[in-house]
Amino acid sequence: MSDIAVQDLNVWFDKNHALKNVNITVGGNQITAIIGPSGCGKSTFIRCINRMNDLIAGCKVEGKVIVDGKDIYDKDVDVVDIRKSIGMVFQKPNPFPKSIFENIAYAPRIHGVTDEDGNVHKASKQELAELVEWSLKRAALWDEVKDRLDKSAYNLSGGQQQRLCIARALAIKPEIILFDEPCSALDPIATAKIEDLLIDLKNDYTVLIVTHNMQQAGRVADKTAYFYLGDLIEYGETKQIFENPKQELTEQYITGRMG
Amino acid sequence: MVALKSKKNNRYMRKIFEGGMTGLLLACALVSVLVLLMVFMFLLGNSLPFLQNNDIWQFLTGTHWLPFGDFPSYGILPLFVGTLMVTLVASLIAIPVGLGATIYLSEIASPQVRNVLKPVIEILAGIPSVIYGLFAALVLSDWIMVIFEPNTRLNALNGALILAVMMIPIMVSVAEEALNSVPRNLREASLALGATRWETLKMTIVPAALPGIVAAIILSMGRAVGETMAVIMATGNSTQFTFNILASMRPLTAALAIDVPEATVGSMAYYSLFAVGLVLFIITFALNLVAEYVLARFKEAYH
Amino acid sequence: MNRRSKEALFFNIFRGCALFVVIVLVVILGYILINGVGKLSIDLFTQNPAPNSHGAMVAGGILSPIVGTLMLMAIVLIIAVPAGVFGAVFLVEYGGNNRISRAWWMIVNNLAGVPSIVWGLVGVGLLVYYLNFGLSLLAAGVTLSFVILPLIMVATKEAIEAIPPSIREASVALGATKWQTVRHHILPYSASGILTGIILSLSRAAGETAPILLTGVAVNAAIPSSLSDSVQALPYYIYLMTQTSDRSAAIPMAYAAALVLIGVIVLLNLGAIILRNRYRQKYRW
Repeated sequence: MSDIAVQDLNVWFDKNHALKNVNITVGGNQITAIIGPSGCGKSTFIRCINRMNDLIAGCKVEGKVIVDGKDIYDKDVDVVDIRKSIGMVFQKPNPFPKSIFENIAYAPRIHGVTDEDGNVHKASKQELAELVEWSLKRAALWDEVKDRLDKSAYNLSGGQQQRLCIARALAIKPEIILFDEPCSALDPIATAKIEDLLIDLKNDYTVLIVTHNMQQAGRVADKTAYFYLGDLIEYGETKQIFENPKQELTEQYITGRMG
Repeated sequence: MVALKSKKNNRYMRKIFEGGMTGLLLACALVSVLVLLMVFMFLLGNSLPFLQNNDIWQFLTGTHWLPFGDFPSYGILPLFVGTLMVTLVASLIAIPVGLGATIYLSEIASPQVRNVLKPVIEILAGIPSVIYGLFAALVLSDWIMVIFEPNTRLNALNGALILAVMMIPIMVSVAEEALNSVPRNLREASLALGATRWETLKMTIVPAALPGIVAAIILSMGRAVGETMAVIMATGNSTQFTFNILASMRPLTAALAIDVPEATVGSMAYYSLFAVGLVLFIITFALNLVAEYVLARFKEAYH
Repeated sequence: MNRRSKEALFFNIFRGCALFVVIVLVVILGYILINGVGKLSIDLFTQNPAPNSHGAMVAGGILSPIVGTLMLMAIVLIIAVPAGVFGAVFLVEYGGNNRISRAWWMIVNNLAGVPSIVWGLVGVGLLVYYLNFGLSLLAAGVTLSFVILPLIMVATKEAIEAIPPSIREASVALGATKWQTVRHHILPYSASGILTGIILSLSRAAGETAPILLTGVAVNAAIPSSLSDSVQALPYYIYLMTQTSDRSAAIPMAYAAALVLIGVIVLLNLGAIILRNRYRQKYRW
């Protein structure tokens, strides 16, 4: 699984210094939670890992984000290739206004399918159907939607839509999946299903999750990083961060005196 | 990671394709700016021969518009007054009626009534000006003959009335958007304090939407200033210098439509008409700019 | 007067204003319908305008004005629609929300407010004489395209901006390129909105008179056989009929042509309204 090594990462939005000298290494096969009060830079951080910040006008990124030994901010790296290999799930479920099937088949359709030798070919109907089924099963949605794959994704409930978005991200066969507050728009039951899914996914993927919900971080994450005003304050085992924080700022946040 | 190893060749092809599409779209976008530049340059360029050889003050304040003949006179004041008279009188009617209709549409009408009224406004906006001109020339003028007994069947009042009808749909659509963008909680706050709907409207909603309403008024006046066919067909087109609303007048737009086909290319009359066009362009551009500025400030306040 | 009756009074005034607007529409359309319907006949649609015994062009039908108007609409469709739609796509999707693109939209909005007769003037100077198109179908069509271009851009912008940014993020995060995002998501999801804008713009083109008045129409033009021929058009024909001295013959023709023109425009507008309502139901973000 892919490790992510972030070195001296600085991000500016125009004159606002959003991330300051962040150094962190995130390991594979585990869930890393990013927590902190609003505006601490946690979403900015996670969006640096698949270079989604490139889309924002006035955003400047300095430093290195090394994925599998390769700096993704290097000049010769194509940003599209990075996003093809890193899945992302957003705050609000954002399925395309297409059928359930087409939502998941979209990425394989535009990218083609990679065979064992690393050659890319156009996805056949058969391959697409298999991939859609595999992704939906992996996202624990298959049983609920298998009879209505051709129906609009907008007919699903919020929680189902979010699992569809996870399935859609899985279909690009990523090694890393980024979750940007994936449960903030969902009810507790739907949230529990997503959390179960996250824990299941960590066996095969490197999972990063931004959350404003500390209990959620406590429930799912192996490691936790605490951000405050653009600084990475503390990073360690989740248990240690919650029970025995080393930094006073972290403790204030964990105990609810701030945030 | 598999994707990072994807064939270099593929990547270059994709980049070339992306670049090509971007260029194509950019070219389409450039057309809009080029067209505007071209219009302005052309109006200016073709006005210059006239502006250099004639007194600009005389042009703006002269009271005789006689561009053809042996002793031409290029005073656009009568044309300007024509535009001004029809626009102002039209506004006097269109602003209150338009505002009333807007408030009814957005604040009072039931959804069913709204579903009828909105298409009515849209169709009114979609009717070509030549149809309004036809109605003014053949029907409205007869009514005015009976009621006001003017000396000429086609006159400025006729043009002003039909322009008022044409201004209303623009007023309504822009002002309605302004009223709708007033946040709902403002309304509820006022009603919760025990204000009647009328008081809420007068004290809260209309003041909050005022910039949008002002923009609506300016935009509809811009439409009236720039309107050509309806005024040509309604106002009778006499170039006399008068402030009598029941007299025949020739607004700026009508002067262009009537005189351009008569002018020999390259003659002073031809260039003078471009100067008239430039004046018209500047007036409407300024009106639009002001409206746009007011609207932009307004939108900022509520987003 | 107490508060409630004051409210009732003002609300009735506003109701009256709205009613007045409806009555105006009914009266104008009613006059044209009543006076125009009697002249509708097969001949009206199959014959070109012809001179009567006094030499005024008030006899015959309105075939060539109808065909001319359709040809002008076709030129607008070919020139203004692609340039406008793709130009707007560029400004919204590639231009972003910075000072340059805001200034650019300001220009487009102001272009939409330039009086159509000024476009006609520029058409005369630039196309007819400077580029030597002559008074022709081409000059008139291109001038008309200038008028319509900003309208299409603004309509396209509105349709595209209705798509929430989260859809673009979803596509880009899956590794789609900008163009793929535009091609697979932005254009399909905004298609009916854009189409509505195009239809409304074309209906505007059908009725515009001032831009073509100076650039390519002629009283006795037949159906053009090439782009350099002069052309007849429905709105111009209506204008002519009100200027003819032979009023008793001309006025019925004017009403009939007006009825046909309004019929075309109302149909296009209704189509656009239906399309828009369906589109609203389809994509509720």
